Amino acid sequence: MTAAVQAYRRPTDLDAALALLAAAGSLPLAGGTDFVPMQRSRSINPATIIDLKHVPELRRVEARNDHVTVGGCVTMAEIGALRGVGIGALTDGANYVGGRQTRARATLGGNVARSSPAGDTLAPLLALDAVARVAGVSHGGRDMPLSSFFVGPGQNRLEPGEIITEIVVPAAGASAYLRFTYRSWMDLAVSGVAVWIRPDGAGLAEARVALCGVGPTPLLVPAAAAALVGPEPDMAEASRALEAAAQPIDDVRGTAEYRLASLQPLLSRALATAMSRGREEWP
Amino acid sequence: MTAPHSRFGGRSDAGAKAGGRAGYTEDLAPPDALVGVVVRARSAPSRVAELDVDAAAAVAGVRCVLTAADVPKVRMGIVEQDEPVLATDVRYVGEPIALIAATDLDAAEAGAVALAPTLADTGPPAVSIESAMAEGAPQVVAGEGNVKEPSAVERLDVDRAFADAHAVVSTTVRTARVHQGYIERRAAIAAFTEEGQLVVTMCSQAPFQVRQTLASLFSMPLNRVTVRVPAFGGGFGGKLHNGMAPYAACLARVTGQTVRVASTRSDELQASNPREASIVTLETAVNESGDLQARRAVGYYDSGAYAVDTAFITSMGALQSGGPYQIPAVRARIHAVRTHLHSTGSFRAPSGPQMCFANEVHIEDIAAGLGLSPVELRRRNLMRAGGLGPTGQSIESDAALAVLDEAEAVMAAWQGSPTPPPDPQTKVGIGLAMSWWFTAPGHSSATLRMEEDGSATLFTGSTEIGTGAVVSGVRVIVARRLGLVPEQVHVVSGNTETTPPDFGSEGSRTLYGAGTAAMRAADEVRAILAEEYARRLEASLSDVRFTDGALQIAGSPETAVAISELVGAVSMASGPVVGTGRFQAEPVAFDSACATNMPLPTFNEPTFHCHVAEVHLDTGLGRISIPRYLAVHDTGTVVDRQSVIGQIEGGVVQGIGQALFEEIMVGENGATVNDSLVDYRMPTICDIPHELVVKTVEDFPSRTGPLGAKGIGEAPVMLAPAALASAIRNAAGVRLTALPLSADRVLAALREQRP
Amino acid sequence: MTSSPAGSSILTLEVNAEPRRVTVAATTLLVDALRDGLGLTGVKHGCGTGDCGSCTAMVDGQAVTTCLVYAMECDDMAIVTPEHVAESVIGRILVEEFVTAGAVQCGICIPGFIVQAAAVLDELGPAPAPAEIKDALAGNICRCTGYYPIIAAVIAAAARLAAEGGAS
Repeated sequence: MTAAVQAYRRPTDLDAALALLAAAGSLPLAGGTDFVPMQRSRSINPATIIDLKHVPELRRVEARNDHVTVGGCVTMAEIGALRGVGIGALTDGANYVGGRQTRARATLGGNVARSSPAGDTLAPLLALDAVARVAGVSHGGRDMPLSSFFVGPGQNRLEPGEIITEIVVPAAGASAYLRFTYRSWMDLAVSGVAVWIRPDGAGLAEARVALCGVGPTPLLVPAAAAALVGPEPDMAEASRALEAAAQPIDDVRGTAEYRLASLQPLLSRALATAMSRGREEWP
Repeated sequence: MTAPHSRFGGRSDAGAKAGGRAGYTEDLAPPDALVGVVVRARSAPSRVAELDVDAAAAVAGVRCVLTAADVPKVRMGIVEQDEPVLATDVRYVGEPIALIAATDLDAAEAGAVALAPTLADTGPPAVSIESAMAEGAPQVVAGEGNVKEPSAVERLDVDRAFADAHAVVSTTVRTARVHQGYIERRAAIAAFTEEGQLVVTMCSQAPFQVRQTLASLFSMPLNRVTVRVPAFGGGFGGKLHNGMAPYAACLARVTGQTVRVASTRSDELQASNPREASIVTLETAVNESGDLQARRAVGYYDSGAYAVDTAFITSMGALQSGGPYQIPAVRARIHAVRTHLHSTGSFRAPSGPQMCFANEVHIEDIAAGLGLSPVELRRRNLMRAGGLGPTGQSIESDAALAVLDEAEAVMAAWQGSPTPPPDPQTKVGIGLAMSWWFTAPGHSSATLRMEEDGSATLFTGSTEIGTGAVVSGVRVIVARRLGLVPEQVHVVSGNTETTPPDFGSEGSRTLYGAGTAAMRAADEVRAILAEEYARRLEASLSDVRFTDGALQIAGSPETAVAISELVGAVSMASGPVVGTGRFQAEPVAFDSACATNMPLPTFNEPTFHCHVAEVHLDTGLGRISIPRYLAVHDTGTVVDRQSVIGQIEGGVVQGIGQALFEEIMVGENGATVNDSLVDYRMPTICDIPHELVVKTVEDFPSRTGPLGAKGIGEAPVMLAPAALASAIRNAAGVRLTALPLSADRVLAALREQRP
Repeated sequence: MTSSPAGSSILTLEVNAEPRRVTVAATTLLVDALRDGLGLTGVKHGCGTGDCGSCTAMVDGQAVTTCLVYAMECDDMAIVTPEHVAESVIGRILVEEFVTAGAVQCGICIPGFIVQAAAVLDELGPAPAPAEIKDALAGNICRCTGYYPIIAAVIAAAARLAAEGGAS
């Protein structure tokens, strides 16, 4: 028998969840929008499925002045409805995921833990300098900056049994995320660019740029950000930096050549959106 | 008598479907039915070396494991009988090699894993037209070349015309495999009754063809096999073939139980019968004024591993070698090419999109080469009344011109005020494309039974596949003939046991064939009732009219006698009132000397079509959006307007899918890599033209169709790739010759154009 | 939920406003529990990966694709299937308008569209723009109609719902 799944468990507090996850073969289930088809096609074969959606600690959203804390099981629909130009890139990304039915289920923690190179919230979270709070049965919790979290396609620095309890997202500045897909909707990103900026008069005091779909992991590109900072962004230099940092491949979603070519227009449009959002905020 | 009007107008099936109550094939499986799965080969070409049948059979819940040795050796196929039920010599990834039935799906899938097939590779696969045609290419059928003899047309002296030409223009296009994309997976439920009847419930467009296959597989008389088609969830040609029926029936025969088998979406994209990939080269000899004088057309269509209906498709391709244009001298050679991929087959307007794309890129190439207006070049050369088709069939109308005139008027208005682009990087362009298509011949029959209360029951062998042709169109025709309202006509269809035969719901022919048969059945009933009425009232037969559920003398409502009364009287006097109608399209005259290997040598009841697309071309990302789109179609008489509009709107969007997004991609091993509906990208509601204008040209009624109707099911899907390519060319001057016109291709073309 | 041997459990769900018990395994999908366990076949198998919307049903007030949800995740939750939505005030209006608009051809995707449309009709208001409807229905694929009559039907239903005084 290959039907390895023995059980489904629904813990209602974090400690119980972590204890269950410590058992060999246990896998955490959040929204299930990737988990379920992967399990059905036997790409994952959990012995026990631990449903995290009923753990209250994972369902909270807390907005402070300078950051938003989003629980691991908060859905894309809930994130998409958040307001604030600082986290604009994140709400953009959340709203791009699937259709409404998918966004009602898919979670931020799930998207981060899945660590797809093309995950629509990942480049935004990198651009926003977000930090994952992680819990495991052996420790009370640790903070993992997402800038060093992703290590390969579907791979990250989470240890077995650990889960993302919340993501802390700085909310200053303004940001935007734009991606290319063939269809207008219901598609996975071929490539995407997230831009976060902090304006300084007419120019930019600070910026971050992150990419998805053009390498084994979502990717921060500090050199591109540096080219944007100053009284006048150097778009040519920023685009060159993106193209230098990207390591795209040909796959079912697109060609390496196209992915590279898409970065410059995506960057300039995402930047324009972020700046216009910033202008609305600070007229 | 007044008829009870349905709340919902024409379609009798719509309310139940929308409410989730209609029973589709998978909805009708009895709870205790066994679940069958098809075990498919994961590499090809290969030989099945080992199957662990004992291990699979030992899995809890597994009731039956069948391999090639356990199923009938009869090979299946419409044109060539070449496809085994289960393979031992595997030709393509996804080919069925074993069947498992179990108490539930999990157990059946576990059995499939336990079967652990070992396949011995027998060589490298040929996974594209080019690789199958290459020198020393691996042969799909040992000892036979991969390139089959072409469907060929040779008329007048082509070489002479090319030698004397003012100019010769050549165009080559490439198109990808695309899937019909029916939302309902193929499925079948099979059982042998205690009386020995094989009863199969399935989603089939052609249940009488499936019945034939099943009878031959099990050496049963045809009348011992019943194929029933319940509510049907989309086919577009992909459900013309046997589907899951042979597998469910083989498992049912061995287990003695009801077995249901459903394809997975992955299997649909890996192992069904999609539209073929193609490479088409057109060359034209043209004179100074732009008259097309001779055409050479060479096509290579990827037929995959087995023949299916490719011979018909290549002949349809040859008939489109000149598009809707009058070209005196023709040499067309359209070859099927075998590959180590799943077999291609009919998809709404088989060969149509690629041939329309080839013809319309070509005509724009000719216009560009000669410095002529592309629209005027088309008009100058369109088929007209008195002209001849490529195989010499007579063209009977000027419908093509009328369609172009209608389209050009709208196009001119759009050109006068194009939709403003949203930003400076977006360019606007408007383009046009034309095509000709046909209404497929084939047989139909119907029986019409008048009930004692004046209502009518029609038995038709055709199946309602969603177009409305049966539940609405045929019903409307019968009602009109008898002076009833459609709600008084009940249609029984989709059952080989209770209805007379029909060729199938395909080829834009359902209303044409089934409607004509139904009309003839109604006319027999009319004759019986009119005779009784005329006898009773001592009236002349020619004065009798059928109106409002009664017969009356023209202009004299006071003479009305209800149909119910006449039915009762006739029934008492001479027997029940029943009419039958039989139909077979009459052969179209043509020059048989010019056609070779053309199972379909003419376009029966031809139709002409024109689409105009306005595009916004994002020059940064290469993405296309469509502010406005116009579809003009030569429909003949419109019997049921909502159904006709529905066919056109749906066809346009399906065509846009092939034009912009859709492509079955295979890896070097021949396996489909985009085997899900996220990576096989069918248009969503967000991808449709902002505005779609539909116009029907009704001034050229069909000579042979019911009430003058022509087929309109397929043609709307043909033109979007060509119209969008024309519009992109108009927007940015880039010439695209491969489908899909995806953003990466568009961007590459734009970059090539820049110095 | 009560567990039984062989890894299966008996769930209690509130389905279409009635308590129902159904035996499922840990990985039985909600779509299969509804169809095979409870005979509610208004949810349809289309893609199996959440990409077509044909299996859409309401779970605790939200429209979801039931091929991406395990039945066990819904223990003690309220499920509403297309059959039941079609009998609600909003659902009846939607069904009538879909039929009138010619939005039902093969029809297999339509129950999913109607559940999704019912879920968003209040939010869309009395006169939704086509763009708002497209955004709300982007997760449902129709291969027959080209979507135009679906958009027309939702516009008509929204207007009727407003005129008839909202849902009960």
